[in-house]
Amino acid sequence: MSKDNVKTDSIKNKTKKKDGKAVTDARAGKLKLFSISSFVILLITVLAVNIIFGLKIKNTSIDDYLTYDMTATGQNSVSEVTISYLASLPADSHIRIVGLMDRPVNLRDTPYEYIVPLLDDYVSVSEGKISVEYTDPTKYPNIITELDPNGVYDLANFKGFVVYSEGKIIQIDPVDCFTYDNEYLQYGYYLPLTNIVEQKFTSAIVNLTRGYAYTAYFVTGLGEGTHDQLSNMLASMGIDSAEIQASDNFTVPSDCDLLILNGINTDITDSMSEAIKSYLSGGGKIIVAVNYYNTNVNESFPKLNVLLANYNIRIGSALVVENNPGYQINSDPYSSLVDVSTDYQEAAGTTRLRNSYARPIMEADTPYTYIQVSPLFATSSTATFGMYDSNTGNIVQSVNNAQFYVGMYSTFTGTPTPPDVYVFGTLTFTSDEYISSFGFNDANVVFTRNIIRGMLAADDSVFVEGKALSDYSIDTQKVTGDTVTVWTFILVAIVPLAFVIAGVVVYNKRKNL
Amino acid sequence: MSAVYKRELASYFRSPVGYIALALFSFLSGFVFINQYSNGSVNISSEIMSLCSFFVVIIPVITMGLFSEDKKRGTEVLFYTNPVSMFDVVLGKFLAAMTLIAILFLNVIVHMIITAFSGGVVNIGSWGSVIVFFCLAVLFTSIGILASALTDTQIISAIISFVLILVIQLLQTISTLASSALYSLLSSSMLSLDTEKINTICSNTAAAISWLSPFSKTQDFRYGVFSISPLVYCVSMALVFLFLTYRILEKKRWSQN
Repeated sequence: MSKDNVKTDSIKNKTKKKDGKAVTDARAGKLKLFSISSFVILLITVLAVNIIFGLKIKNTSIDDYLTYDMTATGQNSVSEVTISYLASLPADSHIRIVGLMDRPVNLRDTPYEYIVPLLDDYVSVSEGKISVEYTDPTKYPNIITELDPNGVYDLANFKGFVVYSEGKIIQIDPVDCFTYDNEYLQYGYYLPLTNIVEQKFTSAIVNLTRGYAYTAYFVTGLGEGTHDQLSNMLASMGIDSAEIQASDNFTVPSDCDLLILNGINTDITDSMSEAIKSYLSGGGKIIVAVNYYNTNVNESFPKLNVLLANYNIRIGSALVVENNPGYQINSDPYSSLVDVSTDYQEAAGTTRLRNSYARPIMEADTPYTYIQVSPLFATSSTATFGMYDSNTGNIVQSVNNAQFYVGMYSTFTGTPTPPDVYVFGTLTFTSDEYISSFGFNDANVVFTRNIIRGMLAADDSVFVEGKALSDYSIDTQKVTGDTVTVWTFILVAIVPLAFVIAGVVVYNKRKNL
Repeated sequence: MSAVYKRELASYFRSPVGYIALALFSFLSGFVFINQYSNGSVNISSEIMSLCSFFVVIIPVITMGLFSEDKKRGTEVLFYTNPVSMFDVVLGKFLAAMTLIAILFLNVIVHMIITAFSGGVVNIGSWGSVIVFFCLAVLFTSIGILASALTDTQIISAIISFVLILVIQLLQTISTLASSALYSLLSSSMLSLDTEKINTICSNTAAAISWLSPFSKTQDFRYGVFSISPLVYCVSMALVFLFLTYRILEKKRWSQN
């Protein structure tokens, strides 16, 4: 027996009592205690640190201060415009934003991916004036009566957000928090272009706390398109939107501050003409927007022209064809740039704007000097007009080149309540298709906003610009079908296979080591 | 520590494990990338977040042999008998595994370069996703090392880490299910709680479970919103698992049995 073995046996013997029962080594016991206690202390410390980071004190946590929105357009942060407005609200203001759903957890590729983080930021910057909660009405039905005690809104079937303040609510559908390209409106494809989440929520907060200053009425029932985006823009200016159906009993409501005939495809009736004339005689304001497209090529709007003749304006029954390549957009004679009249360049912020499938807008030769008409936009001097030939399906152009106006403004002088009449021969200033495609920051849309602000003295100081979303498209010129095939072969087949072969070679070489 | 690190990193490429991991990751990442590329739109963030969901397979492959292989071969005794800190051993193996993950990630860097040359976008959200990828890798690798230290069989080690990572990946779903189950239980029980109270209990339960999920904490990174607390969470929890691994090994060093 070696010396070491003797020593080991001696130690073992020391750990046994005389009666033969094994006892724990005191050192091993202490090590065990140290192991457990050090782990528990570390775990508690880690949990405590993480809890402290997220702990909300006065609706703000350390985490809020250590969060940075690195996106160029601040997609997930509320802008200074909103922060300033929230700061201007009384300290006891309380605005509830209620999502009528469980808090969405899987945000990826859903509208909520831009909504949920932004709403969290509203809470962070509002100094307790805004709270955000998510309550599924199927689990907690009382939320419906709590928000809408009189049952005015159909909240039970609404899967969106409700902004609530002092008994008033505004509903926001997540899908409406974005602008989409034309394909969405035409074919139902969802391709969001601009994030207007903040614009929608801030508008709602402003309009709930400040109240709507004006009401705009859209005339419906004349084959027009939707006006959601224009309504969004009006809401952001404190202008409520409502609709009036075209009919023989048409009357303009007494609270109408702005009447809009947006993209109508059929003519108004005689009674409508009279009602609108009466409205305008009291200092009313109107925007008329029509175009020349396959939905209205046979419509010459005779009754609308009778009405507009009172303001020395006439809408032509033809298509403006731009022949100057310097004005054409993508070499398309029907979509072109137009020169903005000098008086309106400040409102446009530029000297040229876009128009598409426009009708010429002309003076009606009404011989009253109190009518003041001014052109808004003009084509180049080499434009012509064209007419749709239903037999051939082609546009037949006129021979003579000329300059055409595609927008006009008319008012009266010498009257205490002059009307404001804006007529556009194109829909590139007011249509959902255009605003969706180009966003609220586009010059045409900014022009529309500015003229409305000029007419109604609307306050759009809390207007939040849309935030362009990232376009992840790759250049189709560089990436052809062959390129995709080559990369597929390399990345999915060759590279993994090379590693598998290397693994097999290494295994075979070393299996006997 | 550097000796352990070098030995472990080299061992990945002296056995098929490193090559299998590389082959697996390059195939998965290539497939996800080509799927987007062929559709004419590449979002690198989406690719990286998809790859994060494959950690459940990749991490066990990488970490299963870190300690269990040594135990099986009996080479672990070298760690116990050499004058080296066990924490250095744990850290060396952990860093070797992380280096292999960084090598795997070179695939995504190649995809980023292809995207940039194809006129696509590699924006701030993409870099945010890279941070998330490595944060999650740190956390899951530490779990994998712990699993490896618990057993001397690689397969059992892989199964343990697979289950643990899977549970963490499903925490958000588990929180929803737990909330629904609790709601059903409370509303049908004899406790006669009012709906509001039940709703509060359920939502708090769901929030508590969801709070543990590293995925929910880091989801804003891919949108370009960076915050410190998710990083602190992942790193600190990884530290807990590494410390636990260290204590388990220390216990063996001083164990009487």
